Amino acid sequence: MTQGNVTCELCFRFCNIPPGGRGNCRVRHNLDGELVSLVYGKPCAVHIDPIEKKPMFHFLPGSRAFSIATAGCNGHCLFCQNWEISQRPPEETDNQDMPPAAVVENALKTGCKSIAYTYTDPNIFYEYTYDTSVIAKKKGVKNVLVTAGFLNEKPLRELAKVSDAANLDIKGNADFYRSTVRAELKPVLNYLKIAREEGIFVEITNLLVPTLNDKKEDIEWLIKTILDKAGPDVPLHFSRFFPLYQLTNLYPTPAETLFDAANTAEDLGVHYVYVGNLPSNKFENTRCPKCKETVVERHGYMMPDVKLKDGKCPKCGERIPGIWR
Amino acid sequence: MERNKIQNLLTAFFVFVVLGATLWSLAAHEPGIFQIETALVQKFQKPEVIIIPAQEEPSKIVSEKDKVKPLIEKKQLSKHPAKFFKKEIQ
Repeated sequence: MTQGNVTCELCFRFCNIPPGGRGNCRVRHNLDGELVSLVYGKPCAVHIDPIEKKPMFHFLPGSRAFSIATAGCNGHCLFCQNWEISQRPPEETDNQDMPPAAVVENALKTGCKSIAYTYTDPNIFYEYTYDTSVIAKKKGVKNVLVTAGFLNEKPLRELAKVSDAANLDIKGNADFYRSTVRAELKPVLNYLKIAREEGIFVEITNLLVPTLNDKKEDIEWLIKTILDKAGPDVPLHFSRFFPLYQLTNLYPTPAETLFDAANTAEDLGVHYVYVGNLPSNKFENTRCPKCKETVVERHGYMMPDVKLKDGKCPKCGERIPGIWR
Repeated sequence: MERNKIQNLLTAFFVFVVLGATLWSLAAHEPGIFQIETALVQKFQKPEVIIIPAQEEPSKIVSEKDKVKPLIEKKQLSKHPAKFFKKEIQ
């Protein structure tokens, strides 16, 4: 370390930041020897989304999530769908003033049952996420983290106390993380373990990128890793890639690849498998793993038909994991 | 009579023009005498030469810190204290 430097301990990068400098995420700044967040209360994206868009299929189905994000990210995926805000410093985004209390108030006014910290990554606007979540919890609004999982243990355990659910990206194997995400896999698997220990309801998303992580062995590795680390009851979403950002040379994921991956996951024992970014497919619905009855029927983002009774299959009584109310 | 009147008018006009031109010429070069500072006079005045004194201090190298600070202020970014960091041990 040199004079006046600070070391950020939020994520695995442990950025050593000189005075006037910033962390890898572009939003944590060394201001005269103190680390500050440049984006606290300054979201650059504010929307109301169906919760299924996160995607969260086992969490308050049919409800709306008040969704916010700030600029920056501590991941650098070549295929980022939100690169225009995630790979930019906050000087280059259009930011609003919305302190934590205002976020919660807006969520309540618009009839949203949850606040989703999303689009970029809630880890890098950690303090804003945390303070907003504290207020939301007191007011009966749930908190959902949509994240790549680059958060160290201590901050995660603290955030988990005020979080209800998370959609966690597991993007591929270790090589894929280094080459295509410019990050590491291990922190993500730690996140999965700790989040579940702390009682956060987790759903997992994997974006299938043609030629990069869509080979049969890649998909099998992913499924077996999830089964090993989290068991068969964690909902798994396979998502379709569209050419964006630095991967415009690739083609969109064929539907066949997505369905093959979903079928493989079911065959290997994952109970709840979904295919996203592909409207009207058989993997939109939730089926009871025991009797195969359709317990939640979906058509895109239209209001789902929830047939569960107190979170259980109406036919055989099997408990279906999730936060249904 | 009529001819005399015309001659008188012409003479007066001629005197007026000459006198006016003389006064204008004097005002352009020595405005202080007549305390005349019209826009027209200024237009035809020679511009004042402004001498810039040589800079005594060398120009500052703009540090990254100085570049960033104005941007943070301009965009009114947050400076909210962050959690989870370690300071340099002094």
